[in-house]
Amino acid sequence: MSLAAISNPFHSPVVSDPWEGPEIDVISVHQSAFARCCEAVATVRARPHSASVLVYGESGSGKTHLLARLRARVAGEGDGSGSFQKAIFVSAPLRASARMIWRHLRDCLVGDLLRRSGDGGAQLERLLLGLLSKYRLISGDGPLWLAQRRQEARRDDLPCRELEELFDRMDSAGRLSYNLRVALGHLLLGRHRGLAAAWLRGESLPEEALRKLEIMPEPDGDDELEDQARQLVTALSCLATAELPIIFCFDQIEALQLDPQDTSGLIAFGQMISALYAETRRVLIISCVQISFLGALNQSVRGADLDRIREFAEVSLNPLTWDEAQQLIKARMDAQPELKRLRAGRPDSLWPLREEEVKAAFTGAGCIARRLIAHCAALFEAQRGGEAVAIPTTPSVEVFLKAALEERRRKALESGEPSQTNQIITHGLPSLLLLAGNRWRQRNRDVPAGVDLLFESAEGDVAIGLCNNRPGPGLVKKLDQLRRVAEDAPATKLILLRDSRLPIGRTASKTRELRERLLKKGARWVEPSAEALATLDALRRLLSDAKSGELDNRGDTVELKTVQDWLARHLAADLKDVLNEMAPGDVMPPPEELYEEIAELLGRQHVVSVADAAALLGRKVEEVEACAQTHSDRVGALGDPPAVLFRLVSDV
Amino acid sequence: MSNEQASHPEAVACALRALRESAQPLTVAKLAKAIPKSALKSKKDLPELLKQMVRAGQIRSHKARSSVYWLPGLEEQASERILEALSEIPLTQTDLKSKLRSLLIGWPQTRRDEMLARLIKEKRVYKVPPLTGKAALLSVRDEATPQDYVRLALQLAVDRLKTRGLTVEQVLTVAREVLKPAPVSPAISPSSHDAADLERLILERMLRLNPSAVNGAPVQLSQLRQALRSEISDKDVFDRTIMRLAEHGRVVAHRHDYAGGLSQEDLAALVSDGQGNYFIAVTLRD
Repeated sequence: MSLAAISNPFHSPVVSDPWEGPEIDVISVHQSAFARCCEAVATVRARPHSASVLVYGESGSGKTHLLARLRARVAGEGDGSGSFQKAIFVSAPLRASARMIWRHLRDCLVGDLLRRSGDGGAQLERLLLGLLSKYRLISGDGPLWLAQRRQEARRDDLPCRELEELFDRMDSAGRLSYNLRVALGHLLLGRHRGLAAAWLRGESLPEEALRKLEIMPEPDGDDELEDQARQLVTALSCLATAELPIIFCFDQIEALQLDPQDTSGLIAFGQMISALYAETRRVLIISCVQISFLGALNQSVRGADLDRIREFAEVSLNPLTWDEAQQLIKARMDAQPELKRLRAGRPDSLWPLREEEVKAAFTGAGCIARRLIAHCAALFEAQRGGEAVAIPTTPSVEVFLKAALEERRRKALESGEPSQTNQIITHGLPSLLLLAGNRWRQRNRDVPAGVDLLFESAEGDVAIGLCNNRPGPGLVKKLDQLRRVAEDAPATKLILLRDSRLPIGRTASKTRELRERLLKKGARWVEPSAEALATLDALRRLLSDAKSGELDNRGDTVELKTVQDWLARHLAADLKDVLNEMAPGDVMPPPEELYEEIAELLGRQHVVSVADAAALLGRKVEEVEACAQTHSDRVGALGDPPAVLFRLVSDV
Repeated sequence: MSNEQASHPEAVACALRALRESAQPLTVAKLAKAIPKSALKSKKDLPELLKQMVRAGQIRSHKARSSVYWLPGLEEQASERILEALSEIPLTQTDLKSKLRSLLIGWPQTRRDEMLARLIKEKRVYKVPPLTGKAALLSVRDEATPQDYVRLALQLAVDRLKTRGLTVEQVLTVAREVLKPAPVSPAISPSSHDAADLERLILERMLRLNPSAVNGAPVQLSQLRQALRSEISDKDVFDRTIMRLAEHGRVVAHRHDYAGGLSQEDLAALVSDGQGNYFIAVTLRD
């Protein structure tokens, strides 16, 4: 077999998610940093404390790779010796706004606890089974016991007495609330899994769903939600044990900063880590930052919080030495059996690459892993042609960024849910405004209750209230708070945003009445579409990746400024539409009530005849027909005039 | 399951807001004032509602004084105050308890004692040997530093000399006179010191700036430059020495990822290798 038939062993240079890979791992690379992380794991096993490690590195140095190595090790995928005990792994890339940082962590924690890992069971199951076993409430094979209990749970609807006993014994401090205990019980026994998981993530559930879960309603104002998220995160963290500690890995900390003057995200991060460290035990916190961010971290995070963030150790991922580089190159090439065979017995250990050409990637005594791998990929491609030819050029930045944005938009459309809307808007909208050259300046102090984003502009303050709660007391309270803002500060421009996928039904009379009052006072009502939100989500993810040095164009890290300039130039097309939708120049007409009623109906019954819809809504058939035709971009209709209505879903 | 809370969501929200805005635990009477009349059917419902909230884990109280409530997060703030009190100087248990009376207003005494006991159990507060006497001292470090003992000795001197009419300032002035100032090392210039001296000076100062550097923690080059400005005033000399240390494998120099976007002032604070690369931090090589 010739080189031409062998796939390039240096493709896919970046581990972008600790839950992926690492396919090839040279253990001697970053060995000392990894050893410090392992010592920290051992420390939280040995002492009833939490510990915290701060990892620095240049972009592409392998921070995420290090986390992936640790994740694989604690999942038991390591060297197969089983010598390294297991742990629960949580990855939290910080694409979040300061005001929602705990809610974001709650989402990451719950998402990863419900993720299957190692032996096939969810991490949460392992955690709870481990505790039941530790407290001698079950004996023998935990998964077998669980399978039996689940079978019993299908027959009757009784709570799991062992779990109740466990919570009573282990939670003398009362951190595990009644609701949390109930939700954990459902998840362990496999009952109402979807609903229980949604509640655990912090999604707003209708009363009917809460009744089904036997969960008590909780206040859902903005402050309360952030408090609840904090309590839930610390409560779940209390499930960590010496045998099964929890490892939180915070990445993309740079994405918390809107611009170099914005310190709110970093302050919130410092406070969150401090609280997590102080209120938990057997928890290891690993925070990864770019070394270029060292100054910002030192300046913006409170001293006491910074001490907590780096309490156990500060470690740096150094550029690779020549020895390490050679090991990495050989490991990559020898992982392919055909290439290994071709290389066997060659005097030049790096064949088919040439040492002097590989060394060209080095700056001084070292080279960053990502740069080295991309350089070797290009050299290998050139060698595969049979002769030393010019190294293939990397795609232009324009082409790369267009593809990167599109890829993120596609994923956002596939997985986008209204429960993510607040996070997308609070994190993404300030960046979008900045890119658009808007002179609005975000203010984080003295923000009135009910307002989620406050901007100062030459024409006065602009307040944005996110009204994505389900109709109920929470939304009524929010609108009432915003009414107070409209009355107390009439000069403030008020924009009310609600995800277009969340129509307000006709039964929500109080909500509708308050909205009417607000609109009469000059507030704007804006309903961004699923497509607009997906584009905004893609934009904030692209910027977050650029801020944390993870935008890799074949070994070249694409700088934030380049991305910002490119996005700003392209605001003329897609993104400008998004901005106009979010913060329109003209007063938006109030939403048509009948359209909202139809949309709500289609949310429940995805297909309905026009005649039935008219009967159910107490309207004339002609009215329903006309409304469906007016809103043909958002309501699916068959026939002319429409005879059947159906729910439109986003075209991915 | 009682549905008490569900029927009083506004009262729950008002109580939580009042507790969140308060730096200390609140009594039932104060909470009652924070809740509008319309939010409760009757004021008599409030104690039961608060009990419900305690059971749901939203707020806490203590059996020793069950009419006082606080948020779970406030306990950590209180613990922080205890740690802050001890971070200044180690204290005996008696001294600390007396100090906590004014620092933790509104907390039941037994809860204060429990919080302190918990901090000791969690090894966030340690018992360390006293300077004099038999009573152990409480400290935030597992052993008292020399600075702690010097401060305690000064405190002892202040207490003893108070009876002889000396003020704190007078005692400290005497202490300064007793301790002669350390001689200032002359500025090092390239002409008067060879390269090895400069390298050694930089390595020593790295460790002084961040003792964790010995375990791989980075030192920001702008801080290192600032810390050595009296000894190495020439930017080029400093930059060349750093690059030489990196070439010799004594330190690792970390490149700034997007130096192109920095102002001239920011660039000047970094170390340049003269070939377009700018470095922001150094770590000691393993």
